[in-house]
Amino acid sequence: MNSAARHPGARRGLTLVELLIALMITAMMGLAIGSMMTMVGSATGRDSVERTALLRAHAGQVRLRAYMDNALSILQHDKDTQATVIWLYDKLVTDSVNLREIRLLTVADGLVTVEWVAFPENWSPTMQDAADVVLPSDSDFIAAMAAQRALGQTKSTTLLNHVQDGSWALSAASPQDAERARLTLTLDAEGSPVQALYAFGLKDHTIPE
Amino acid sequence: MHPSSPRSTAARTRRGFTLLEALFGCVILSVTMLALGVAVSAGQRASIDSQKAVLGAMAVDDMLAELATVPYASLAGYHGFSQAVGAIESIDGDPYPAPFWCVGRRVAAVEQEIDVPSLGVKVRGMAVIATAFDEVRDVAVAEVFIPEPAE
Amino acid sequence: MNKLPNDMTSSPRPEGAARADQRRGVAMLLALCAVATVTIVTASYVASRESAPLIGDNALHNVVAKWANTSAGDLAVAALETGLDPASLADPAKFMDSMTVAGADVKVSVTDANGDPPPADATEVVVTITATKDGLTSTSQRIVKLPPQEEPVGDALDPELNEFGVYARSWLTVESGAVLGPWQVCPNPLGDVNVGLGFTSDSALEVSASAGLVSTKLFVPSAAASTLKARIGSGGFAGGAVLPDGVPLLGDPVPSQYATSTVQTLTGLILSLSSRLLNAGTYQDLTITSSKVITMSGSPAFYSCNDLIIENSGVLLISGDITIYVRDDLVVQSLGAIELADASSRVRIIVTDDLTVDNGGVGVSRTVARDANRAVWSAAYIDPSRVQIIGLSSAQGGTVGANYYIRGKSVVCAAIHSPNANIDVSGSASLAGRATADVLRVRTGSCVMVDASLNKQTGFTVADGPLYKSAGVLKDSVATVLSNITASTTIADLEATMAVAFATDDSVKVEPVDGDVTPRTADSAQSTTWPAAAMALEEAAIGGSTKGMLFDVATLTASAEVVE
Repeated sequence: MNSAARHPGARRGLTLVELLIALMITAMMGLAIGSMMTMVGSATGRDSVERTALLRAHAGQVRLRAYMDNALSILQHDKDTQATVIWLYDKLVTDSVNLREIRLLTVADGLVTVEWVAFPENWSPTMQDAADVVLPSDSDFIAAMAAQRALGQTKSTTLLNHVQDGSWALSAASPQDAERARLTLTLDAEGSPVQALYAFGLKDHTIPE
Repeated sequence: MHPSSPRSTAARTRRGFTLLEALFGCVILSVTMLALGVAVSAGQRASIDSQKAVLGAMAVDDMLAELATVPYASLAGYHGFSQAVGAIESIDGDPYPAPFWCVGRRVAAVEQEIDVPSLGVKVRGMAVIATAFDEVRDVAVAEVFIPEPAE
Repeated sequence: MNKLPNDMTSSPRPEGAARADQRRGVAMLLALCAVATVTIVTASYVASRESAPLIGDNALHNVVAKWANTSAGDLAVAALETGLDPASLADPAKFMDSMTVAGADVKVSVTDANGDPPPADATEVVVTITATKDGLTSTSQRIVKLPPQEEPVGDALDPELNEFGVYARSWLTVESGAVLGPWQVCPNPLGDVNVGLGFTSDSALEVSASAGLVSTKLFVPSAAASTLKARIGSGGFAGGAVLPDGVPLLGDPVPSQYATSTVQTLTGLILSLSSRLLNAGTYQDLTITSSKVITMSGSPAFYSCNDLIIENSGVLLISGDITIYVRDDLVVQSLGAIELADASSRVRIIVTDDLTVDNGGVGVSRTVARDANRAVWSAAYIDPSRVQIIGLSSAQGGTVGANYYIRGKSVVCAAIHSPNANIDVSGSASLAGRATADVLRVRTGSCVMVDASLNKQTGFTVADGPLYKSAGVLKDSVATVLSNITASTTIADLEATMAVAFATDDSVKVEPVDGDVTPRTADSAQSTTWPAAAMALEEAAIGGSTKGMLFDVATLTASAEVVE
């Protein structure tokens, strides 16, 4: 005869109530732990996305500053396309803008790019300098860059990607008079856009001849 | 031979935890959860502080870049310039977007003379110090020395 | 006999108790596993966040280093603006070494475009700045243009225009058979004779085709007619150039000694009885005649008279350093002479009105003067600057259009500077020295023999001389001085202005007062920042060199210089 039969009051197992209580407690604890983990996970994930966007914004600022901090002038700005031409340095003919001295900054197709004139490498320095014509201050610099692009004599590189849109604000009505500029970018951060604003100062501002 | 009593057998084989064991278990679990929680929040705080540091660095960089274009004679007027946390704007009045909610900025501009003994020259100029801060502390400080314009 | 409940010796443990013991052991194991798992997860999470503060610090230190770099660069340029010559430093590579500027450690070096120490005459240097903050380094380069090391102006500007053999403000005539050329007995007989003109019309330059122009160069004003400019290097002129505006034509002021000099006579004095020493002071008309030798002596000594007439073999003997202010006319005639007593004697004669040397001699011995057949080659050489005949400034009473006649085979060895006078050399007379006049006429048979050694080769006729900062462009300090000349400016005024203006020449570094900041001038250094970071980005984008953030300035600089 087994012990359960001998001791009917001490049979093994849980009563239904005990089982239900145990299940409830287990479920509550699981829920608590699970929600905490989910919260941690989502916070970590969100934090990571925001941090990535911020770091990307910072990297973009560093790369854009490489151009804007040293720029002598903002030569032209197209309000519709937000294309902006800057005069990066003045080497060949003093106080005048030469083709190779300009840079075209564009915000389009999710990218911030910089484009510059680069003559074929097989040209001699004399040929390159001869082709590096002076552009009067009232030139259409964007068109000049487009003409060089059509000849295949430009190169470009990306300064920043995952950019939804951007817009410039200048400190003067005429771009060539502006000593300061602001660029507002909207960066794509996995569905939640992050805005960044960069303020630039042209401390070597020069008005071209 | 007498068999053990049913009561003492039942007492020895009773399933479950004693109160003490349950309490010990709860304490261990609590401590573990507490440690986890503390670690997570510390990590979160470090992350937020890092983001503030980056934002602060960007904000002071912008401030100094803009002040570099201000005429030298006007720099002293920026001494004490301050923008509250979450309300920073460019010099020309453009407000900074949402990510910059957590920092404010202030500027100190003081006249300074720098001696360069190896060259035997002394140059007067303005030390411009830009500071980004949150509600509690300064998160970023950078400065620039702008020499007085030559004649 | 009762047994203790746990007395196991009498019977084996029940099965349930053993199972319970087993379950407790498993529970402990499960708990330990859970704790270990949580610990690992937490530790990894915390570790992942450890980099966060470093990222923030990184961003900030980059900003600090960048602005310290800018500060150090501006400071270096400011140091160059003091006129400091980097070539004079013991080690330009350590232009600024281990300084703390704007919160970071900075180093600055100054080199030429090839990275070598800059030469002494460098007009362009490369300033390389490195700033380090907590291990993060920012590097940049600037190209700094330095002004060419200029010769000090000093006394290069000569108000008496000794660089010109002749200078005619309104008219120049050299007739057929007249000679204009170097004085053969002067120390520089092969030197050029610079002929300067103050007029713009071609018709005012009358040079006969058979005039004797020897080693002459023609210098005309910038506004001269093209036909006049075309005569440079032709028609007997061997060369020349266009002069800048503002060549000064000034007269002397009334000598300051006049106001306080002793009045010796109140009436005219005719010195005909005996040769004697004349006391310094103010006289009325003075006439030296009848072969008498009247000596003016002193070092210095001042004499003044109305008319000064030396005639009939009379001799005015100059001994020492003498200034004579002739308030009216100077006449040397009829074998009269103005003679220098010895090699150290000199005379400056300020003439208010006319001058006539007719059959006499000035600056020659009495022997030559008393020889009616005298000729310039019979006169020994004297430095013409020892006999100066200066017209009084018109603003102070000098006669505009005064007539200077040198005629009757006279020989005058002098430096004449009378921008308001009409000088007429005729009658086989000779002027040896130089002349500045309003109108200058050299008639047939007469000659003007120029002492080319009077030309210090530093004036307006030297395009790369100390008066110019570049070809044809006067230095700013010189242009300023000349632009401030007015109708009332005298030679003395100009000399006083020059002494001040050219003493603070830009090319001279001004030593600061102890404790004060060092003075700087913007023209002493002009800097542009080379966009090294942008160029490095572009080079990396096209797969170019991997020079990192510091771009090779020498490559771009050299390519530009090839074209230039």
